[in-house]
Amino acid sequence: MSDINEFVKKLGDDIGTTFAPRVEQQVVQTGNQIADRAAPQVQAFVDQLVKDIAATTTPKVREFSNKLVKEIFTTQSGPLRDFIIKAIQDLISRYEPVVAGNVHTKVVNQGIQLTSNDTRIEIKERATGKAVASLDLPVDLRIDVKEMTFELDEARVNVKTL
Amino acid sequence: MSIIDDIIRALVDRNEIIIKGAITVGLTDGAVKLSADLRTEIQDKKNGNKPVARMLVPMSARAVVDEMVIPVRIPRQ
Repeated sequence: MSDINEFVKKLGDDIGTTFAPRVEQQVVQTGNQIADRAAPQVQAFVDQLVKDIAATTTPKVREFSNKLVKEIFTTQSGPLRDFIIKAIQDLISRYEPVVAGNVHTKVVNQGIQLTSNDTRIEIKERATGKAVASLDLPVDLRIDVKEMTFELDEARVNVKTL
Repeated sequence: MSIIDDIIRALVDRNEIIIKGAITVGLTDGAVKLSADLRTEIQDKKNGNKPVARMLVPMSARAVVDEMVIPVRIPRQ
């Protein structure tokens, strides 16, 4: 009998093992790209700043920082978006959720009773079919069914002789 | 042809049967129950549908339904 905490932990462990190195690699790559792009521009800006330090620094700092932030977001939003889409696609293609079990149905007084002790959600690896995590879903459900009355307005029986 | 045949023939040709009433369907432990109270009236067609006889027909029936096991698998194999 596995509870929701164990189910989430097992699924989280598997996702962590599979996807954490890729996330780390993507973050490092994104950081390097930002540094490569920003460093020469910062150097040039500092040189220019020293020359013009007396008069016009404030507007230039504002303009430069605005431009740099815009550029970083413009250049990195695409790769980050692609990375997230790819990660979601990989998650979906890697795992297969399955609901399995037997539901027992019986007629009770003024209702129908549905019960199950073996229904569960299983998360499986699509490639191997190996179960990664399982969550029991005990079912105990009653559907009330009220009595129905049919009123027979009139049935006319005509008998013919042969 | 006998006199009895003639009487029956005359009765059948002359009368008709009208059925009215209520039928109730409900669930009870392990079964579907059906009960009805039917009122039956024989009318004389050749005398302005005058009632000739009335019958009350109470009915009660019970259909036993055993437990059913429904295998669930989503997605289907």
